[in-house]
Amino acid sequence: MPEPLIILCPPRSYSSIVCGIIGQHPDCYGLPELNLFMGDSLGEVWGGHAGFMRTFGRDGLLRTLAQLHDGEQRPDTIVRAREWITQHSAWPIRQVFDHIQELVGNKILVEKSPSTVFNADFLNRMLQTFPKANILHLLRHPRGTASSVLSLRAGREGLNRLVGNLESMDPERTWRRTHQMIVNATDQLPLGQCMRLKGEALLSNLKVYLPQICEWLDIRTDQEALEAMMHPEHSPYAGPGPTGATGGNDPNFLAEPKLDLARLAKLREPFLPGELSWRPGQFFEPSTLKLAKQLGYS
Amino acid sequence: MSHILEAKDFHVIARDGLGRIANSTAHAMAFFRGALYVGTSVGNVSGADDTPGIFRYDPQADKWSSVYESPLIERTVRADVPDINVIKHFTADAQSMLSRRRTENGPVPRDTGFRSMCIFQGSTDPWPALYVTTMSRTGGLILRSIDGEKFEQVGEDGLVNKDIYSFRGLTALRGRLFASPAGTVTDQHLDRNLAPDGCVYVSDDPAKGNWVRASESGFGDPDNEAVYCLYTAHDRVYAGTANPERGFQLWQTFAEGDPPFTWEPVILDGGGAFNHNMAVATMVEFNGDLYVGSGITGLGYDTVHDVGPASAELIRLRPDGSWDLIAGQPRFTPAGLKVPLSLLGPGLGDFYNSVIWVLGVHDGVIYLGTHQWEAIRCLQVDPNKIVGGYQLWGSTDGEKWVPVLEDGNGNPAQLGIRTLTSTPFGFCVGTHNHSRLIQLLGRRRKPDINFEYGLQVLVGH
Repeated sequence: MPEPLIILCPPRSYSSIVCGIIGQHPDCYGLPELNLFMGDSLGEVWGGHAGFMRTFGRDGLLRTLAQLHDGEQRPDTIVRAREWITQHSAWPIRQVFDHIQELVGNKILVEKSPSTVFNADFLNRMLQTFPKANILHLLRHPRGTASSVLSLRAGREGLNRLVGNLESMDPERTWRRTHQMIVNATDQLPLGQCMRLKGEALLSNLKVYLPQICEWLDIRTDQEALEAMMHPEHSPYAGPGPTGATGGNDPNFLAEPKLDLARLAKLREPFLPGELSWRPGQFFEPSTLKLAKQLGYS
Repeated sequence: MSHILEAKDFHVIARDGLGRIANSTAHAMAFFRGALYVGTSVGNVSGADDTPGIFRYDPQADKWSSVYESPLIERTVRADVPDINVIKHFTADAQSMLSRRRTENGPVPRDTGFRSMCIFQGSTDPWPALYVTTMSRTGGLILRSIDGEKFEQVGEDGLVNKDIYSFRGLTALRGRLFASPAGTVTDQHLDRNLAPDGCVYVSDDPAKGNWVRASESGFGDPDNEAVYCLYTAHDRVYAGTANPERGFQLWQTFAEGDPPFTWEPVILDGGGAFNHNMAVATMVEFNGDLYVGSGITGLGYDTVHDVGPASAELIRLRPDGSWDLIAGQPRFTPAGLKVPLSLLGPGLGDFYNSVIWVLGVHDGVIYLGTHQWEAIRCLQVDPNKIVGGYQLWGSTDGEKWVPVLEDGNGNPAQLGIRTLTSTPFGFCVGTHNHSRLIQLLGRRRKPDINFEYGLQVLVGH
């Protein structure tokens, strides 16, 4: 079976749309957010991390299992998926992945759970579980990422109340901490196992970068395959799920999974200099600037 | 059939800094009128003992002679201003020691070294002359010799600006000599690398000092803080920049019409490695393609701009502008997927190779010399185990590379290979030695560090 493709990035980094695009390649299978690297066993993942897993962290796995076990996602198949999880709570997460892989067949699983980079333990678990996985380190400008984070929080009063004033959840610091952790963890991997790509560059130049991603993954680069990638909306997970598992992905992607090529073509990187909208009178810290420039932002 | 020289093919023809151990670097080298010329540089000039020179090697007689020494001049305020590239690497204690050395009394050499050499015939030169650029705190100079015996200054101090410390790039195309400044000296500080104005100058008669701008500043990009490297190939001049913000840029001009010329970008953003590919350090033409070696200034880490640590890369450019990554980090780029054709990563697989400092061609083989700073790192980790040193690699096809010399050829304080020159009597290698610095940095933890001082010149045949 092929090695999976793991997309690593902090939340709000275009990972949903990118996973949706790559996942539509005929040789790939795009998954919703499984969040499996948060524990060693399925039970540990499922029963732990209460705040995250019991709100929306479970939806992606439920939808995946419902889709693969029963061929469609309905309230009753979601219930069956939940029962299956309970029955297999002792399985190591690698076994769960292997089970999914078996159901999917000989396609590259594309996984993008932002929880994988919530902390170094989760990231290391991913690397131990899939030491040869293809890794795409997906980037987004820190100002753009922060803007998206703040926009999401603004629409969710509860979330904003919970984390809005936490220094550790400041969007700049989250960006820096997460990307630095990914850089540190992947720098020692064999050449070519981890590739970095700016989301802004990819999405505004799909014709330039999609063939390169396919070439890297050693999968088809013909027109039919590339055209399939232009339709993430064809994924069974590209839309709200049924009762019991409505999420599993970025809410904006679930609401609008079709590529708006005209809008994407206009995508531009913001700039590093300038005051931070969320910390008036302040600017990006030197360590953020250093990392951002290393990753190609200016 | 070309074959790559091996370690056993090399022998040392100059050591101990050519008789003056302060001569730490064989900074410039050329084969001119049947002899090898080497311009030296001194790391930390404090007095007359630190005078760099130009030396000539007569291969028939196997004999060196000094043909030029920097004149001694009265100290100016600029003679003692701190070197910002170096001081951030040092503890306050080491800085204090350097400062004490700098404030010794007496005259100082005008020049701290000789940075580039180029054989060129200007419109009033009777025949091809040897042009040499200096590193000078009074403003970088251009020297000329038409006979290899006598060297004279041509043009003004700094050519157009006395704040210019040196000219790193020097190349000729169709009767014109191109020069690019590197380094800035002011009454407050010295920066050996970045120029007050990152542009290119040109002259068809440098003997008369007629220099004009060949390009606009930084090719219009203020983040291009210097043009480190100039090279003539494909009937055009290539210019490689240092850009600490977004990575090096490579530009080209066909130099048609009157200067300033039209320049076109060839590679931007450090070829997609961004500012970890901070500067173009060297270029050479081989089998019709241009090979570009990159790197980062400083001891593996640019302290001035807080970039790195990072390792060097090697790129191959074709005349049509398409390019390959030969050694470096695989990546997606606007020009397509780049995978290192040598299967070697950044630094040719050695993290401490921070610069591919020089490229050369000899007998159908391309060679590269690195700057490898592992010895400096060892001082922090375990000063009882100091390893590392320069590497020389060779390739017959530009893709498959093999190491020729490693570990500073037995001296880890030989941090770099700065010059490579093909001559009829063999392939000459000029080194860069940091024994003095290593001793200074390590003296608290290991007072008896004692590697051989001074540059070496090796010849392989």
